[in-house]
Amino acid sequence: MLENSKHPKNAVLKHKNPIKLSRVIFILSFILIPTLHFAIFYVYVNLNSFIMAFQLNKGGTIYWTLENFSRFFTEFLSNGSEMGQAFKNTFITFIIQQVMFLIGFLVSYFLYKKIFLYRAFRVFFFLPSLVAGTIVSSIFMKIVGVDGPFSLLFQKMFNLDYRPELLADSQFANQTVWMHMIWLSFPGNMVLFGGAFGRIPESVIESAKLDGVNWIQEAFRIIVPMVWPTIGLLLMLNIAGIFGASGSVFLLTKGGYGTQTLSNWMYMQIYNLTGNPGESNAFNYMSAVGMMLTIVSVTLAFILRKLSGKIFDEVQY
Amino acid sequence: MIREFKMSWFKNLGHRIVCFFNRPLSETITYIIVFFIFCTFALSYLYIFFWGIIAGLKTHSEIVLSPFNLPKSPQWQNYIDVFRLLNVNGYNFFGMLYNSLYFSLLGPLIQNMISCMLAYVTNKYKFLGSKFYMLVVTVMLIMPIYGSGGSAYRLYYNLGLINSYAHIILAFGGMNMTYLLYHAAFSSVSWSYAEAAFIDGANDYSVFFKIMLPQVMKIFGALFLLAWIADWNNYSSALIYLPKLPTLAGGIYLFELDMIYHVRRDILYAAYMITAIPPLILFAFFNKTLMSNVSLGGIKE
Repeated sequence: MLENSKHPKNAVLKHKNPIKLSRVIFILSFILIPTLHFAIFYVYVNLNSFIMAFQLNKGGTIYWTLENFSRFFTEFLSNGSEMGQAFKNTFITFIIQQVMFLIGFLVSYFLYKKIFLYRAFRVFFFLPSLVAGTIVSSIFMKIVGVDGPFSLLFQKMFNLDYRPELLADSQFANQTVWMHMIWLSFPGNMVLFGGAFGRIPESVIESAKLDGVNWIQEAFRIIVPMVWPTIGLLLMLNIAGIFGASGSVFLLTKGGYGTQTLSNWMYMQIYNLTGNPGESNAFNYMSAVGMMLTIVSVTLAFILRKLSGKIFDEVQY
Repeated sequence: MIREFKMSWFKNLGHRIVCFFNRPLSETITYIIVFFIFCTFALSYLYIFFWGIIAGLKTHSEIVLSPFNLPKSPQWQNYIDVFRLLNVNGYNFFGMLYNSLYFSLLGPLIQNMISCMLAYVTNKYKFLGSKFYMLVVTVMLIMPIYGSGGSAYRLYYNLGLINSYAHIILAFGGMNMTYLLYHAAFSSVSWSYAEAAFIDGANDYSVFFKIMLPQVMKIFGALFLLAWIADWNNYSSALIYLPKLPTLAGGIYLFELDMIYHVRRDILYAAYMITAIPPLILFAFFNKTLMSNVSLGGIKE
């Protein structure tokens, strides 16, 4: 019945001719544009990227080659290479993101529990999302600059005889980028977590309270299982985007001073482009690197799926 | 009236304080610690704005020499000079404002509408391939393809979408996270309203636009606002795809790079703060809409 009532073709019009031209036109008019868009800007782009990984432009002639892949492995395996550094930083950033995911959940939990001044916190925590990253980064760079309090703090902590320029010193640049990331990602995904928590029946929380559960039990034994469809999906998307993990590296250091990440490296390939993009071999190399990352990420997704068993089975999309 | 309001406000505050301490001791301590952590982060976020506004009132040399001091004499003129001095690739403040509004209003509107329509038709109508879209979007999200940026850039270049108002065409794709949010929203909208309308002689279009769309309008509004804020502040795409058609977010960043030579960081921070005003105003009016209408996934029974 539910299935029938969901679909007008089966339900409302089941006594009429189910293949009504007006309905076909209606459905087509709703799916045609996104389908075409998907075919051109997703399928074609990715297929072309796959092909580009095996090509190189030498003097205007396109050659089929595996050179991009051999270059990738050479760079990846050589000591102190930018690619190796990018992998390392990406993984560290990814781990920080997972920790911040948990912290973000707890932030939303305490806001949901109406901690004192929760309304004000909700507004203040949303502030960094309201303004461009360029603004926040520009001001952050001033705060961590040589005249700022953090430079002095680092000088005292590391017993230095100079005030370090934190973002221009390979000893501190990565830590400063991560500090920026932790600072800004503290509120987490307040919108989706807040939306999910808001739909938990009050009676469930009330009866748990009567049973004497403490806040940890309430958060992890009642709320997490109830909103698992949301948490599981966000977690899965988080893990799937492992190679996209990057703080505001572009704005803070442009990948310099040992702060490069994979996604910033890819962005910089386009940002630094000069001349005709059709002739740039940087894009071909980028496609090869991307292809290797995609293979690893898809493999990871399958392994995760196998290992997690039922954990992600109840995720709803 | 005002006295009554004050009384109820104080009563409410008193109630909240009593609730705060009316917990087991360990929980009260936890809440106090969390409260102070929250205060620290909240104040640090507020400080960004405070510092930015103050920097916009200083002279360039004050920003460089004493960045954390208050201005000796506030330079209100900076906030007026922005409109005269800000110029990036031939676009002044108002030119960039137009570009920002064009891409940040039109883009999310089109993209939300397309996602919403696709989610509706694939959720409520059974046809060959109706489940394909959900499958594809899910696979796209959990198995992202890396490194296709170069290929995408070449395509945009060949289609003339770089530095062009036609770049808006990229907003016509509805197969993304927003699709999932609308799909989830339509799953909770009863089909019985539509059934009644069909019996009364309504066609599919009027059922969607007059009955079903209004039921997800709050979510539509919230997602549109979130997308608008994201696009208004989007510098990364603007820098690579629209450097010669600068929006405010991308343009002011280019101006910042240029400022190194023009030594007017006072104008830069004034410009940044003016750019931050529209999202702040919007948030002030619609924060409830933004914070309480978006959800994904269900609640387990």
